[in-house]
Amino acid sequence: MSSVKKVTLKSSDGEIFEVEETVAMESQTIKGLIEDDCADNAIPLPNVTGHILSLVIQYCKEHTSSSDSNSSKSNEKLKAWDTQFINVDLNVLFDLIMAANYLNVKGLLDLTCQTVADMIKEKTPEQIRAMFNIVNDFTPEEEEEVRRENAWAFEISLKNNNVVDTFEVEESMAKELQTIKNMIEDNYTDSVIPLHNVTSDILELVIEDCKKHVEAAESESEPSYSLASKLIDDPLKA
Amino acid sequence: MSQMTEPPILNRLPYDIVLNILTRLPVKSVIRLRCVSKSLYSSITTPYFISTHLNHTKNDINRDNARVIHLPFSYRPTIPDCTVALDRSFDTISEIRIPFDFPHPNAQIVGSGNGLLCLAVLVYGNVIYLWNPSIRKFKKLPDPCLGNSRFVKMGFAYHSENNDYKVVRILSPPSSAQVVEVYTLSSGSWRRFEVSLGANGVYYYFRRSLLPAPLVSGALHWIAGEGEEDPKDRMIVSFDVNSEKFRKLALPPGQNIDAKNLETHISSFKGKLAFIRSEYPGRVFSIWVMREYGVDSWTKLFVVPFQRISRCTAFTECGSLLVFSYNYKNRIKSGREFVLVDVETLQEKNDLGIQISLSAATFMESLVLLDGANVVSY
Repeated sequence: MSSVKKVTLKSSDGEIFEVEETVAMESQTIKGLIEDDCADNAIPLPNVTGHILSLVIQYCKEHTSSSDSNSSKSNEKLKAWDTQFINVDLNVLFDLIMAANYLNVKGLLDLTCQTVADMIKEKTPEQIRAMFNIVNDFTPEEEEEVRRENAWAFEISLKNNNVVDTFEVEESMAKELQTIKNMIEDNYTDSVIPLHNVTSDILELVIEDCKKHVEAAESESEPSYSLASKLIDDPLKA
Repeated sequence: MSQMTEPPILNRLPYDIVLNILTRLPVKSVIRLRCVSKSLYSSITTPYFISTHLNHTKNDINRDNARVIHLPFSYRPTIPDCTVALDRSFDTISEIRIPFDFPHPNAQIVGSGNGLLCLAVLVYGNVIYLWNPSIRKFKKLPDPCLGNSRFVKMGFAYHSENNDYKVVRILSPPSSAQVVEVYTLSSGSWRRFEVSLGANGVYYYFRRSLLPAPLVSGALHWIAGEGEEDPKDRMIVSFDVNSEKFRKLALPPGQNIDAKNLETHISSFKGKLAFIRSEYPGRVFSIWVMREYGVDSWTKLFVVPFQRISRCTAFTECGSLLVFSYNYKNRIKSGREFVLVDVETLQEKNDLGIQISLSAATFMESLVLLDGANVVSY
């Protein structure tokens, strides 16, 4: 017979989960209950549904086994697993945050909060409002003013390879070019995008292109890229 | 077919979780959030949010990503740009234009703390600015009470007990009482008091070092000498940022004797007080570290040899020593060559792209000054 100690967890919707004690103890809340000898019967978790609880248990299982000395799981593998695991619907993600908070599973709380933060990082204010259903309580004048005051936060610098000229460009425009978009998303937090093999003249044309593309998108007409932009996106061809 | 669910409301999450999420954002993203809604705008502009965000940033700093900001001592008509670089390698990350004017281009970084910089004009130190480049805000300090003087020493410190920032200005002319002025960010004004430390109450602050006064264990430090004219007996003077009291600390054994052309500096190394001295004529730099603060615990930790006569221009928290030596053409000085040495590994680095001496200080991104009064945005 297995000598592994197990605990029983009961979700808000009545689902029963039998879990190894070491796995359950990833939750500081459950750990406390076990240590206080309150875990003889099923532990009721009224704030967590069965669906979410099964996900939390999955996370705890994966992270407990990785801390075993015999475990061959490397940090990269664990990170890859985490990335896959967290790829869920936004509602589920928020439920996971609440569960991780209630159950006090630090690693899961960090992972979920960081994921939401990463989502916010990429978004414009309009997108953030839409994603999180936040009411825009600015008057149009107030909004214009606050946008103007903080315009610099929406810009990135494009530098040519000689670092002679720097162009301040609205980030949403620059992202029209896939290469730049990729660089931004690869965490160029310092917002200076160096473009090698590109002279200032070409860079000016590229920026014109970005503007045209954005205007075209707004008027729903078909944009065309100049040779300049193609140079950026496909330096090999040039 | 599943029903379209409404997007989750951020407000559904408890405030401390929302804080947990938002304080993970880089500064630029936080600033963008100001445009989302009024409530978000005000949540972000609280001292609590600013310090929680700062703590997150500080926890992520390690030896490999720690940064410095440096500014050359220029004599050209226009003020040069500041450069943000990696502490370990001085690899340039970005250049930042100084957004305000100085009456004289010879400016220096007095100090930094939590992403807030203090810049002053070098010679007389009476035009002073506090600046957070990450959020594009600065504040010009009101004119200090004490006028221009050659005998001014300055320091900038974070006052942790009050979550405040102080600028200290010490005037110690020969044969005169020493006067101290302290500016606190929260009050927005200077306070002045006289200090008498030595037997004859006269102190000279060793003027040759241009490194920022280090903040260690809640106190700012300068090298000083007692006595009139050529001070022979030297020591460290510390200013406790909280109590605003001065104290004397002994230099490492045998180091208190002044000598001509002896180069000495005081700095901070991994949070501890460091004393740097070069043997004349500048071929060997010795670095002592005070292991336990306030107690006689100086330990000589590093000895850095150089092939050429070198002078120190910067020493960083991570132990990067930046020195320069003169190039000569037909026996005339024709420029400077800068070398960066990691004092722990003694690895040297040459191609730094630096031509002039500079002042350097620790740098990080933060929201400090976002809630400040009378700050200028640009």
